[in-house]
Amino acid sequence: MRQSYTLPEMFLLGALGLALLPPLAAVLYIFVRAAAGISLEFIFAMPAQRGITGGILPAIVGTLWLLFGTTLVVLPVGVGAGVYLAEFAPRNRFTHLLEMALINLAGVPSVVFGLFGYAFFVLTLGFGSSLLSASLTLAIMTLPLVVTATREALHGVPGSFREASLALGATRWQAVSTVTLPCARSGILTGTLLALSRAAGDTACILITGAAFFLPRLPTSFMSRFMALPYHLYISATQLPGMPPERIWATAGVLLFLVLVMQVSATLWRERERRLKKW
Amino acid sequence: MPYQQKLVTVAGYTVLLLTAAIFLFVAAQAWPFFREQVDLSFFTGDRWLPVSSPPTFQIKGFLVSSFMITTMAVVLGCPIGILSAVSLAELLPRHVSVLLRSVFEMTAGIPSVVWGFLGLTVIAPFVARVFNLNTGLTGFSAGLVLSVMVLPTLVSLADEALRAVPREYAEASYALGTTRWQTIWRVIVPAARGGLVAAVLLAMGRAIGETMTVLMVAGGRLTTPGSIFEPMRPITALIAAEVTNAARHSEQYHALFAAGLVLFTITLAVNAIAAAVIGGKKEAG
Repeated sequence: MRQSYTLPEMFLLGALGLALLPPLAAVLYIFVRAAAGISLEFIFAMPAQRGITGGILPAIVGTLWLLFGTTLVVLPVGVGAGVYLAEFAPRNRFTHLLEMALINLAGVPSVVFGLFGYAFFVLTLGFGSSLLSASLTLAIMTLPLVVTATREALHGVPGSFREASLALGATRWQAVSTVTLPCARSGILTGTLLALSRAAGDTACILITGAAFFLPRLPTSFMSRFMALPYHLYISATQLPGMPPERIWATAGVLLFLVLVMQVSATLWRERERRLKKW
Repeated sequence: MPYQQKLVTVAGYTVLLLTAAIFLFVAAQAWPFFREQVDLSFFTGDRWLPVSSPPTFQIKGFLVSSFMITTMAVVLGCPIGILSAVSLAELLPRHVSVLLRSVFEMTAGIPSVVWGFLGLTVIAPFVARVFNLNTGLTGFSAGLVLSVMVLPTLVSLADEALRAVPREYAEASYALGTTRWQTIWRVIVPAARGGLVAAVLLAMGRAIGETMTVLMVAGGRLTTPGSIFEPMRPITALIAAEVTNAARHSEQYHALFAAGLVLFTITLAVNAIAAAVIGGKKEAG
């Protein structure tokens, strides 16, 4: 391809620059502002005085618990559904309906998942405002992402692998579990990691299903209420006039760092696998 | 059939079951409200008064706010997003495009509460100063932040649509002696039109459903806004702000689920139209 650009083409490249500039500037600005508020105490201490002094340890731990709970639910169901769609689903109207449901589930706003989680898990099933309710709600929110990642990863495995396995006398399930699924494993795991980074940053769902602002202790079980980074940021920024600004920026910085580490490691891992694969 | 295969089949069916269950459950919680509601004032009225007696629940103001902010985000974001996608798909060397796609994917992961915080502390004061407003917490500021937030969705879907155009189209065009610029705008973009329209629709769906940014930045006034430079509250922000305060099975609780059902229906419709645009194109091609 020619590497010189005409004037109108440079205009297009300018638009690309304009699209990339705000998010990159935002990330940089947040990290610079956050630096003033970050200290070992801020990350590893319990909060005190309604969060105005002390640290945010329970919010960090709460977010990690949420991710753990979400993974426990979404990984088996999401990967199972992805395997079904890629390997076993017959080409018929019912499968088409299932695909449509998947697309629609992916488009549902997170606040609607929160509404459902509140009415169903918190109130109807009586789980209350708890890690359990919030994890289940986040699992539903991330389910379409995990299903899609699994299906795409399995579609990326050449059909000849499957056929070779079947030709050796394997059953369909043996072909999937010993050949195609292991080949697709890294794609599935990176997709899941990306989905979980969404869950880590989501606020609308947990705001409705059980996050608390000030709980100076770590969650003890899945029935506990919990602090979480995004909710902590929301309340500090909007409801607490006395909160020192550098603490709010530091909270934003920690949340952004966590989410970006998940995103970047997923992306790098995927690129590495892509280079290593011979098919 | 081995039991493992049965298990994955059940997991597959769960997706369908869950989608139906969410819609039906939200609808069931909204039903007691719609049963009492004899006219269309829920959609056309301007008063949301949950604590007065008798309480009134009308959502025109929230719908208009959602519409204004979404329109602004899409109108601002679309030209930049589509031109960026053309750059990625057609202009830049492959290794640069691969890298920038990853960067876009990364920016898609910036949590909306972080964008809301930036809108609150950086964008809103800036908007207030530039337009000489009493407060920068307006639909305009929210729309501005949202236009940046929808870009990753828009760019990645538009980029995908452009790259799905068969290489032979471009080669045939070049063989006729056209420039790259002519090939892009006369051949590739028209061929990808369906996918580009779907990309815009799906970005719109994201903007409608976005909650934290608009809750934090749009200002929160409950009545119908006269212009985008006023404080306002979109329907997502209404739900997030009020649902945990509404007593279970109170009128307000059911009214909020009714608002949620309206939001759900709008996003389903936008998704269905996008799917139809893509599907229709496949059949035609």
